[in-house]
Amino acid sequence: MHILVVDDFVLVELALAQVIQGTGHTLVGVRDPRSLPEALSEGDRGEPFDLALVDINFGPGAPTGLTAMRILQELSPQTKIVIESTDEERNRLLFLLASFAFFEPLGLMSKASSSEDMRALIDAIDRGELTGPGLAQPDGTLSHALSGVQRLIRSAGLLDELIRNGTDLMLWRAVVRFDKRGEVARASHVDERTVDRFTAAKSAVVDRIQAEFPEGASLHLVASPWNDEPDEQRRHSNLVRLARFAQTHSHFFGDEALDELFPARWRSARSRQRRPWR
Amino acid sequence: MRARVVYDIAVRYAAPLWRIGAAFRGACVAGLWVLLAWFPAGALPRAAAQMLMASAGVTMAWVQTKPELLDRVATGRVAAFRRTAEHLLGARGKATADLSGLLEGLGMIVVLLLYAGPVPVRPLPVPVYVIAVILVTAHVWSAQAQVMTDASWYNPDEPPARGLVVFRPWIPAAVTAIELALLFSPAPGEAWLPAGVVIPLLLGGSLLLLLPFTMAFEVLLRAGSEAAEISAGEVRRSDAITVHSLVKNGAHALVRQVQADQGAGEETRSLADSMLVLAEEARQTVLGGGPPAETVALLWDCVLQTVPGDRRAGMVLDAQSRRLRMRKTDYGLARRVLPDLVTNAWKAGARQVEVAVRHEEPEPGADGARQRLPRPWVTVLVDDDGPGMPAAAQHGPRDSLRILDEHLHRFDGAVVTERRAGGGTRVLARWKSPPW
Repeated sequence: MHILVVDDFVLVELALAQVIQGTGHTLVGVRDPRSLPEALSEGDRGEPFDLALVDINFGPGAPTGLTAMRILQELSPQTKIVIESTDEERNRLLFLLASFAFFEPLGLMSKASSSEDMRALIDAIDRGELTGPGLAQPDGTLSHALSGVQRLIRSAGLLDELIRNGTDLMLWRAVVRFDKRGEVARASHVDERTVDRFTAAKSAVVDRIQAEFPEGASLHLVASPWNDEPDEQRRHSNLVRLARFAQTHSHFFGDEALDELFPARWRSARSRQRRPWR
Repeated sequence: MRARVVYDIAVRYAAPLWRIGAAFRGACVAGLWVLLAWFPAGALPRAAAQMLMASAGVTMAWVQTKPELLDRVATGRVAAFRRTAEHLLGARGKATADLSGLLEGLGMIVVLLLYAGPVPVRPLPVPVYVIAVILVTAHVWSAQAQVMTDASWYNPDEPPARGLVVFRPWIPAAVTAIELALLFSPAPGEAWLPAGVVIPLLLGGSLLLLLPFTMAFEVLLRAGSEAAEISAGEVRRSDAITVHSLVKNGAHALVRQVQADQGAGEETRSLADSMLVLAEEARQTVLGGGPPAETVALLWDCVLQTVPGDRRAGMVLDAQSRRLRMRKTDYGLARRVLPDLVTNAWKAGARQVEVAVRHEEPEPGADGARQRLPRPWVTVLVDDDGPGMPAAAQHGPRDSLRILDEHLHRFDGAVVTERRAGGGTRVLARWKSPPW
């Protein structure tokens, strides 16, 4: 296989080069998603890439893995994608959910995996065996426990509930910086009732995310308000709670890739809904 | 970053100032109602009618500061109130003239026409006239101060229209002109203004001070953002010390352990050493509030962390190299190569180590305009005065130079070692800079 590593850390490329040593696979590295068009056109001159290992975070100011996957999907749709991440389901949880919701990658490779595990995953993809640890398809065993990747795929709908429309996205971005109802409303150009509805709806989604991914340490910081709190206090507690969640995932909510990916998803969902009526 | 902080401050002050401003203007309008007690009985219906618009505007502005009340009105039974409340809710936080603003602005002109202009109410006691002009001016001051310092002027995501920005400094002059025009417009049959020229001139003219008021406000805003930046810097410095201390202590422990472990390979030793380089880079990243520019100077400062303190004086990076800014892959490779070469040199007993990093642009070919340009070379040159490379560094399949050589082969590069004529060793690591 001709493998593309999209990671800002050259040591990752060097380590992966050692992992595939002697396997016949070849490997090229790209440090920044913005270099991908050039790298892919370079690849087209020779051998197209069979597999891309894509990191999520490329440092402040750089596009994220979502942009990298979007470019890959557009310019090299035949390239299979595997996400590589240092921490599988913690503060990158929303990025991972979005990756599986938008791009259907084959799996998730932890950078903390052993060389043997990394090589096993690459070889399995090479053989077309898309089941097993780190891969998206269930492995056919009788185990009822879902792997981390399968839980991410199953929970992709939570992301749609988290961001249903442009107003939701604007509100999340405001909640990253403000935790008072009036300030959030002012910063996102909506009225306070919209903030209240947002707070109520999204608190429920955050609860479900917390239940689905309890290992996400960052979410433990976000405790549910007491049921016996007065309405106004409870609403404020929920908003503070959402603000902390949004701050934990501020890199995700601030990602400019969302401004293209979500509208395209909403358009596609609307056209799917209209189709039966034609 | 600073624009964002300024906007965040503006959004935070807007809500409380809005509430205070609405209450203050409500008090001004209430005062104007009280003054009607001194009006001639026959003029009262007209006066009350002229007070209605401003009263409605200021009531709406006050209701706007009470979201709960506005919500109740918006879900109430009276359709007109419901629609008005929906409009006010929709106008929140937007740089737009909403109904309350329009009613207040136009309403105050209508109120002023009770006391001045072509058809004022007369006779009126002079103190009533003076107090009315003071209350109207105070109302205009409050409303325009809110307009001039509204958070929407500072919104980096949705900046105000260019025309509005150009008009902003002229708002005080325009408002002053309107008030003075009304105060000084001749009333039929009136030879002189009720309280003379000075009081209306001072009051109306005071609105010009809105401009220096706004400028002073912006100075405070900038000072606030600078103070926030300084505080953030202090936090970053403190965090940088904490991160550096935590990571560096751990890295030193790891390096000691790996050095003591005879079975540890050179790649392991090198990666352990690189933790010290990364710890320093992490410190500089936290300190700077973002990734530092990937220059050789930064890399050198980080690499020196792997050298014992008493040896650092002999480590020299040439001045030309310091300024060199590298592409990400080249920086990553140099970060992998340079600590190893420097460590090999001082471990071999060198007292003086001179390092140079060069980026060599290749000459374009004859038809270079059409052909793809050849990739530039990156060269890391390490000269030392030591007795020669330690055996461990250059023999065996997993020695450090051979591993580096393998890595650089991926980039059409290599590591070459040679003895220098005057004594010492020269190591040259070279690779082709990847195109992306």
